[in-house]
Amino acid sequence: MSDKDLKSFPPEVVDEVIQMVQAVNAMIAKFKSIRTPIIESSNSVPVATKQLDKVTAETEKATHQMLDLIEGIMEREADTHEKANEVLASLDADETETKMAVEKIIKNADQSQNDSFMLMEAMQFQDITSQQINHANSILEEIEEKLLTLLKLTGDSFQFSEHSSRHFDPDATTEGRNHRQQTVDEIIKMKERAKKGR
Amino acid sequence: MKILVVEDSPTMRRIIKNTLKRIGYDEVEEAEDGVQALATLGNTPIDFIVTDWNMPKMSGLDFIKRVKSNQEYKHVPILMVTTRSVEQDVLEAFEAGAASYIVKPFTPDVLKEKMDSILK
Repeated sequence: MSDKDLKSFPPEVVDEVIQMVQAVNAMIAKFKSIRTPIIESSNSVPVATKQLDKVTAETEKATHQMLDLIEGIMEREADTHEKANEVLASLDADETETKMAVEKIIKNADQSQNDSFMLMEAMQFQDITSQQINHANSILEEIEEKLLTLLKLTGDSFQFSEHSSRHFDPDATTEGRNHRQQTVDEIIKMKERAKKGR
Repeated sequence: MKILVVEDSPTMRRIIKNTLKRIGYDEVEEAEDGVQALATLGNTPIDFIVTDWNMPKMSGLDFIKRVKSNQEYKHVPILMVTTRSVEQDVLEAFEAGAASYIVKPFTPDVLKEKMDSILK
């Protein structure tokens, strides 16, 4: 459109069009200025998710090392319990002191076994934290996709990186397990009552 | 009694297996996901299933539905062990055919109680 064409419009329309063009140009300039940070941010996402996946892998590895040790302790304590019981059975009735000592060994072995088992139970945190990390990673990957879609709108061509499929419960937590199990048990009871009432 | 543990986390598989052993169930088969579990069911007689919910390839919920729609295995009781604890999830699991439901992290006492109540 030439200046001559513009002059054929009423001046208020021309002013409005000029202001609109200026606003669009300002927006383009602004977007160009944030383009680099957007590219940088989208490039950082795969680095962050890779690091977080590394945390999961390392934690899993360490957890299995601990489980190896715990299983070893439990096996040895079970063996101690068994052998000490054999010794106890072979003792004469008047060997009271030895009997008490062997009974103490059995008690300690049982306690160590129970404690080891509680340690094993606590290792469930690894599965739960890995689900939490997977959740965080999936959010980061969503952000990356949105940023790249934004850049594509400006005509840039970007390759979406391949994301591994993630399986997690977004609400996975180690907190309040007793309360959550009680709630579930209540739901089960209600369901059973409803079934009986039918 | 042979128990099939379906769980994608190697840590959880190991913990569940050890817990089952502690409460008196020594024979345990393991599967990483529902697809592998269905293959195991096809070639090994299984008396009880413990399954997770969030797993790759096939979710625990879909796995339960598949088992319950198969004439050969539909009688096998299934215990869901998962971090999910919202009412809708619990009801959905029962609707699919779960016999009971445990929230992670669990204690051996809860696992024993649920198994005893299913098997009584």
